[in-house]
Amino acid sequence: MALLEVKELRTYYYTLRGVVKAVDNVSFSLERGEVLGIAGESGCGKSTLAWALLGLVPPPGRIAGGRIVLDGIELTKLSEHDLRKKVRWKKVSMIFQGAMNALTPVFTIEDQLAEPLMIHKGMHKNEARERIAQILKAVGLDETIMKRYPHELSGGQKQRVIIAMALLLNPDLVIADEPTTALDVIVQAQIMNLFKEIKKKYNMGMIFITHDLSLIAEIADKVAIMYAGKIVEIGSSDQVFGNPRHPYTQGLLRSIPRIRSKEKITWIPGVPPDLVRPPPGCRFFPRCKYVKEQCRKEEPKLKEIEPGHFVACHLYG
Amino acid sequence: MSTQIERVRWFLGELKRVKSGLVGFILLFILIGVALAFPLIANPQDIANWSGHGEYWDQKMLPKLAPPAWINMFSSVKYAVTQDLSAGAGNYTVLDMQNDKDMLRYLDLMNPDVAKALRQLPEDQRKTLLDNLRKNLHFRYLVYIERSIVYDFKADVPPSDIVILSKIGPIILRKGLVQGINIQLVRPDGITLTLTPGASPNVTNPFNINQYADMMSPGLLIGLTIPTTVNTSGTETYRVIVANTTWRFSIRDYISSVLNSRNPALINSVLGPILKVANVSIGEGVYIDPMVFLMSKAEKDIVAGTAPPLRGKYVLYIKFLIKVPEGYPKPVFKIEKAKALGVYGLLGTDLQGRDLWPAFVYGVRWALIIGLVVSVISTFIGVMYGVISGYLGGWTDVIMTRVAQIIYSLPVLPLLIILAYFFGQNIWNIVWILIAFGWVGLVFTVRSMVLQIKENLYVEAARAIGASSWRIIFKHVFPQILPYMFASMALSVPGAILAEAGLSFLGLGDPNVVTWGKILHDAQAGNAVLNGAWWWVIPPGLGIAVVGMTFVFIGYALDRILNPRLIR
Amino acid sequence: MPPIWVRRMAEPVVKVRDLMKYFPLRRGLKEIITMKPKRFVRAVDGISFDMHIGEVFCLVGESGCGKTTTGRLITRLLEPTGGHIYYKPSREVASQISEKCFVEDGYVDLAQKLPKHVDKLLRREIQIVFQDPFGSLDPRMKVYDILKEPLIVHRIGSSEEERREIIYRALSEVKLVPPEQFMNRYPHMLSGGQRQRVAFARAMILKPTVVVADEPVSMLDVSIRAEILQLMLDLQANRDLAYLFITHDLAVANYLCTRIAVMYLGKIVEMGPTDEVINNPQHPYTKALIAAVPEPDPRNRFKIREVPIKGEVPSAAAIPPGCRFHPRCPYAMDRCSKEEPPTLEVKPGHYVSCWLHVRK
Repeated sequence: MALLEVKELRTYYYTLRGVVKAVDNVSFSLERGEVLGIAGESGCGKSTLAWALLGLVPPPGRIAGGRIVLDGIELTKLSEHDLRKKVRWKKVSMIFQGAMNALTPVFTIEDQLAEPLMIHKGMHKNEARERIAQILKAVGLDETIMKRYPHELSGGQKQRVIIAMALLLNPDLVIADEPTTALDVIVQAQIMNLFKEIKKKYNMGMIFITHDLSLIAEIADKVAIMYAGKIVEIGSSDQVFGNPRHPYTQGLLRSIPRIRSKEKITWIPGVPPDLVRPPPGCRFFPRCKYVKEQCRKEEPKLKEIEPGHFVACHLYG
Repeated sequence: MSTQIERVRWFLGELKRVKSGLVGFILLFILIGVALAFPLIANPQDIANWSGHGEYWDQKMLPKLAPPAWINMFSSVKYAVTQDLSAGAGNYTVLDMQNDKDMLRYLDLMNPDVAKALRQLPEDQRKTLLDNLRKNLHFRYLVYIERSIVYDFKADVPPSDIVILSKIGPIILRKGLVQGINIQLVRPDGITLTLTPGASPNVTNPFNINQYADMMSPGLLIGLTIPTTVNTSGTETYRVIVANTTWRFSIRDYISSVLNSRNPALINSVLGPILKVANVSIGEGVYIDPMVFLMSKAEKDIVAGTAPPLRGKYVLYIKFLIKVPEGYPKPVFKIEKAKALGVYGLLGTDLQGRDLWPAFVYGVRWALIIGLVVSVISTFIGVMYGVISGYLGGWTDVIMTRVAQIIYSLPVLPLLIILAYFFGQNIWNIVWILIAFGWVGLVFTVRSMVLQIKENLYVEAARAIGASSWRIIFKHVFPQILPYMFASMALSVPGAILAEAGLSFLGLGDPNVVTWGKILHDAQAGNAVLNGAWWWVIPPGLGIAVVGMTFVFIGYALDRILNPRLIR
Repeated sequence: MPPIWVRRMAEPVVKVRDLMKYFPLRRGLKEIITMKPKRFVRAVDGISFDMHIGEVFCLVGESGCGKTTTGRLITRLLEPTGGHIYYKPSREVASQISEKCFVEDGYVDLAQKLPKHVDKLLRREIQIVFQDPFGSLDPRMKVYDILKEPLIVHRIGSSEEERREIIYRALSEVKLVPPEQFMNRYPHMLSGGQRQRVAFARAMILKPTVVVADEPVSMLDVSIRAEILQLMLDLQANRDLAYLFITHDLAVANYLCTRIAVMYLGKIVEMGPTDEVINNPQHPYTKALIAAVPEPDPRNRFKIREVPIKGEVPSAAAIPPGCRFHPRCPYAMDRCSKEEPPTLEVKPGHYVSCWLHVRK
């Protein structure tokens, strides 16, 4: 059985302007030891998807339907209390975008890391200290950092503390939402190396969310491309990067400037749709160069075009 | 132009969503309406003569410290209402002593036997005898004046007073000229009180001077509050009630003075008939409300003041019998106004008998003027100061901030009191003083806002284009402050009104301007709270609160609607 | 001899020499009492480079390296602490400037105090486009008014019609067509890409010679970045224009720029033609930067990326002595911690500041 099974998940924001369908009928699964990369532009619903997996969709949003099954537990049916006690941190942990700036400035790193251990595992302070030292080593930090305050650390160190915090309770699933956005290239490379090591060392699932396809290629085994609240293409990394089939994926890959070649890059004209009133049919058709009559009317379903490679586009089949 | 209309429409649309703001604007329109309609709904003369014009208010003969008339709508006990009283029957008869017929009539009354004998004499003899008699009379005319007023009492609580304003005179009070006065109150139960001691309770003959109280008797005129002057002619000194003397007669005051005299004979002669019917007597040191006593049923409880009220027609008679010597004008006694004083008007009256309604309405004007002028000017100064200080930065900023901090840290209230003491005789001086201290509060917030706005990229972009500091301040910085400015303008109105009210309350306001603060000050000085005169304290207090609330509502609504953080 | 304002194309339009910008640090009370010397953040610490018409000159570096400060110094949003910014004004502007303002051979030194009207004239010639298209446009102004502002400030266009004409042209040039559709919109009614186009239109409407583009695409979605980059090149194709492109993204620099200068802690450590710098980096820092750039190749997931340098950029308030990179340099030698390395030309036009390249 898969570690995580998401079925037809819908997460909507109920605003004054109307219902924003931020995540609309998203399905995927994830095995232990696997990393799923979710890529998409700002506003495509990838962060909302991450929040939904933790049951933390900020109001006025809520999960409007679908199922999230983690290790046999149906998360959408759980109460807030159960989610907090049994699921968050213990089973699923998250590295939020900009979390490194959310470390409490008045506590030492040890205090901040000890808290979840004491609350969830009932550990004593001394036991907790041992575990903290161990986890800090695992993320490439020196033990001495325990006694420091957040402002005494560099950006990269803070991000490592955040990762350590996510790994603290040995969760089954780690969700990382743009974990390197605020970092410089060199530190980013170091953190990506850390993620690769973690992936090798721990047998858990990871969802890596970013707008940067290059970063996804660095870590993900499986890639989902989101556009306007939907997954338009999903498959193994080799399939999606080596043989992109959806016009949006193709466009995205062609728009990335490379360091080792001077290949001409292109862009996708237009802007993503307003999710209150998405276009009928395929949501990508206003920006698609292969648009046909069918695209304007009929919404394409995800179709398996080769084993494990799904594309939602009328060009296929 | 169309965008302006668009903006107004958008603003009104937003306003509908912020309910408190809508209430605020409605209240503001009502307040402005009241302020403008003041001459229509109240008498501007009342305000013009508010302070230092006691005669104006005496003329008005309003009750003192009277509750508003509408309390009868909410009270199970009905209070007598302030009303003008109508005149009853009257009489003015003159007997001319030069006229034999009148002379005989006079003798009929004085000495019927002599009159009878004279009548039987032949005419020429009679004339001679009459001429002889005339020489000893010392007067030419005998004038009988009778006036009455009627009060139909229907309420549960009697009026606080019945007052009669009249013109009287001339009357010469000389020895040998016996002049009489008789004031009687006839109650609906038939009991007749003779208010003038010495007068006969049962008048059988109006020309019989023996049935009157002697106006020469010491203390009587003083007790009746009839003003007299002293005249000298040759060696003789005598008192005169000069022509056209204004006589204000208050039954309450009169009965009070009788009760306070502690003279059982006097009390008995005035109030005896009631006491007799009720079969009670007035003990030593018992407080009696004169009006309650006069207008209650003659029962046992009448002294305690708990006897049921006696409803019906009360008639007050005032009679004079006056002798006019040769060469003097005939006396006149004319009741100009008679009033029963009870609950009064929309907001009652104060201790000086001034109608509080016009003062309250007029207070709206000054509250709005003071509030708006102070807040608009001080907000504008504060915003400009903050913008300039924040935008220019550097030493200018340091100095400007220090100056503002110094002013801000001054103890405002004591200073206000001192300044108001020296310059407060004029309301506009108070306004300037409030502005002088009011603008600083805003400076720091605006300055920090500007420091933030200054960091906006679009400000930097404007600098990159080459725009001048002034252009950036007015085009890019100021519009950002504007909503905040409007909101804090509205929010600073209550403070200004309260400050003025506070100063006036302390007696440091403009003595010639009627503001709510001044009304409250008068109420405080008049012990309004101790007297239970809530109508004197609550309306101005509530007025201040309502105006304050109006602007707070508007301020918060403006903040909600215009604040850039909340705009999408 | 030709008049001094004659522009010689071969000459650089901007010559930056030893440019410095120090920001004073607030001293604590203790430091003031003990008379400790003032401390500074040395954001830009003596850099020199030339810019030519027609090129896209790129400043690359990590955050805090001083690249943005350099851009702001050249647009004179900041006053330099020292050094020179020699700028050669266009004919039209040069003819309106008195000769006293010229320091040499048709150059004006922007680092010096200039008369007010000269300052204003020169601001026209050097424009900037900021990173954040959401913040750089006043949210209360319509696109039309945003573009009109520079025209009003510089009294361009004698009538409203003429100005409207100029704004129309500017909008169509940045491909916001038809202009009528965009003119009356507020910034929040535009997408990020459209906003950045308005920002470019505002910069270009004054017909500048130098445009500083400070990370103009880093806040935009990946799929439209190429469009803005292409727009920049299109705008340059029709005018005498030099770009100073500031970015942290070497891949973008590689794609767009003709020359690259790599900055580290306020200094240029390597400078040269793009191909040279990217394909043949000489400075250990440049090498590390290039090695760290991720690429959309899924095979990378199986290998640990070799990033030879250690730690992170130290604070610009406490710059290490000697070569400022030496604490992180894998090849650090004794000398590196003591003396600052000289700048050497390793190949024509390719400069490096590193002791490794100094022959003993």
